[in-house]
Amino acid sequence: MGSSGILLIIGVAAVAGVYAWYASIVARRNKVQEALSSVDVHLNQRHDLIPNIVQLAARFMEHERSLLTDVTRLREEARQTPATAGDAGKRFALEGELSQRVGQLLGRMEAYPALKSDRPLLEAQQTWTETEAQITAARRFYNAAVNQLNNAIQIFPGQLIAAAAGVKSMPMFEAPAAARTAPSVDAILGPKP
Amino acid sequence: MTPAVDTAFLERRRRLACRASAIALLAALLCWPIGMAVGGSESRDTIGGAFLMAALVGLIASPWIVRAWQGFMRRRMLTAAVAGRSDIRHIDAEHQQAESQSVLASGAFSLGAFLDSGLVEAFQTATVTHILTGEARGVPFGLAEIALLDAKGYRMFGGVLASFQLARSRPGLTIVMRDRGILGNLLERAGSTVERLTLEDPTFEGIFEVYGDDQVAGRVTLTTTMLERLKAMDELGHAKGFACAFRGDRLLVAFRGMAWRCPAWRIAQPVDRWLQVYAAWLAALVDLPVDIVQTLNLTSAAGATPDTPQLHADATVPLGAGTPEVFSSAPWRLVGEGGMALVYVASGSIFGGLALFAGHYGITAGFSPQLFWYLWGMVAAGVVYGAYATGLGVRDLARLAYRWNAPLRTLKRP
Repeated sequence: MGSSGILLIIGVAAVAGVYAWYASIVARRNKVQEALSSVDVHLNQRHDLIPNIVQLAARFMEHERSLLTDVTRLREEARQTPATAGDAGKRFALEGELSQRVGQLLGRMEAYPALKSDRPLLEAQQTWTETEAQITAARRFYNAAVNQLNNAIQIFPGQLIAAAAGVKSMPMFEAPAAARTAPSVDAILGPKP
Repeated sequence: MTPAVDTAFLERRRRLACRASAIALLAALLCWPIGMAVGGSESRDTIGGAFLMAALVGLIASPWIVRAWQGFMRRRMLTAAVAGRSDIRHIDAEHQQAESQSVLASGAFSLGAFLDSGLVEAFQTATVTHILTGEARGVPFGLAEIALLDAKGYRMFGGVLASFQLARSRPGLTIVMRDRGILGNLLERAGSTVERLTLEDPTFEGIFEVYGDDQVAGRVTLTTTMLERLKAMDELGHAKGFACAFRGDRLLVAFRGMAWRCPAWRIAQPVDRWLQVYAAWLAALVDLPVDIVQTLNLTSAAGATPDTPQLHADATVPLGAGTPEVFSSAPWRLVGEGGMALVYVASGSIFGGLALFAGHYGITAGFSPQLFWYLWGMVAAGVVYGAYATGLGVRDLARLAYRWNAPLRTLKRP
């Protein structure tokens, strides 16, 4: 076999390798999009629960008007922001803040004895908890898919192939900052007298 | 504390079985050379034949006696292990067939649920030896030493299966299997319709591989806390080597290769030297369901979703009693299914090859005009037969390879 034959084999192998890498990047991008749409479905489920919780809470929690307004506003903003590759980071930040505020709302409900025994609200809380579990699972799926995509893109020659294919790395869907800090006793029970 | 057993009686049985087995083996070893040596006349040939027959009987009887003794010990010791336990019931399936059939189709243990669990290959019937059933901290369970057989009677699974009825349903099907290395995992899931789930915990990923029919549902079931619990369960002595599946309101667990018999070589040792160890092993086995429920926190409804409908009704599996036939094991399956396929391939290659050779001769040298059509007809028939037989053999070999040790490939998605 001459040198031209060897060069031909090397060339074919290189083209096949680049194509395999390209195919893997595209497949991973599609997986991320599947995961993203799964996250979106569960986040929309959560949005559908919020008006009910706010309505039930508003009957008793007059003093928390600003918190209720914040929750409603954040829900609307989150609904307006599409869960697409370009806006994913912004949407996740809004969802994180929304989750944090609803968490605060549910926490403060503990101080209202009438609310603690309100059956519709208890059911809404239960559904909220279950939806949160679904969102956590969907978020783990999304983050696993993003991790694989980002690895394929960031390892050489992935950058070049991804740039040629128009595929960009995606942001992780992280837990809101407040969820990562341990709750303080004062925050739960109030400051010491 | 080990329940009291009549050690002297067990020792007498051991000696009796040991002697009988040794005598049978000795008879085989002595009678075979004698039978081969005796001969020369009609009567001497008859005597030689009788010796050979005796050798064969001894050869078969010796391991059979040991196996029967192991079965006796298992029955006695299991009965002793559950004596005084109100939460657990032992069913000797070899003698209580009706009861075992009803238990294996009950809420506590549905054998049919294993059909589409991805833990075991597709099977048609089962033979059960012993069942432990009851409630572990309020969770109904069944634990059975079992062999699952396919339509031809070959063993698809041999070991212990456990089933737990959960308080609330888990969504979808989530399968947790052992990690078999890069190549083993690739072979495991090649051609499967279930997806692999990559999870965040590298230690967990080093021990297990997770598959499921829904990426999100699988992660709802396998929360980060559940990953820790599964790792803890892997540390349990009896649970080492387990695989499990969450399917609807059941947790199904498979311990491939686990046997409740004492090792065969124990027959050569007095029982007082090892009985305590065996009794402790069985006592831990009896406590295994409670350990699993406790370790995996199955009493809690946390991590579950609202009740979801069953994927489909569990099928009823016909049940046989006792141990499956000797010729049902994996090597015999390989011989039975692979051997016949190889015979097809060999036959097709020989006759097809000869026909091609004759065809080549006919083209290059030419056949005589008188036999022209006859010989070309034979060549054509040979080529057709060769292609058909080889194709049939290759197809059967491919089918065997596809189904061999492949619960994920043969899993039917609901």
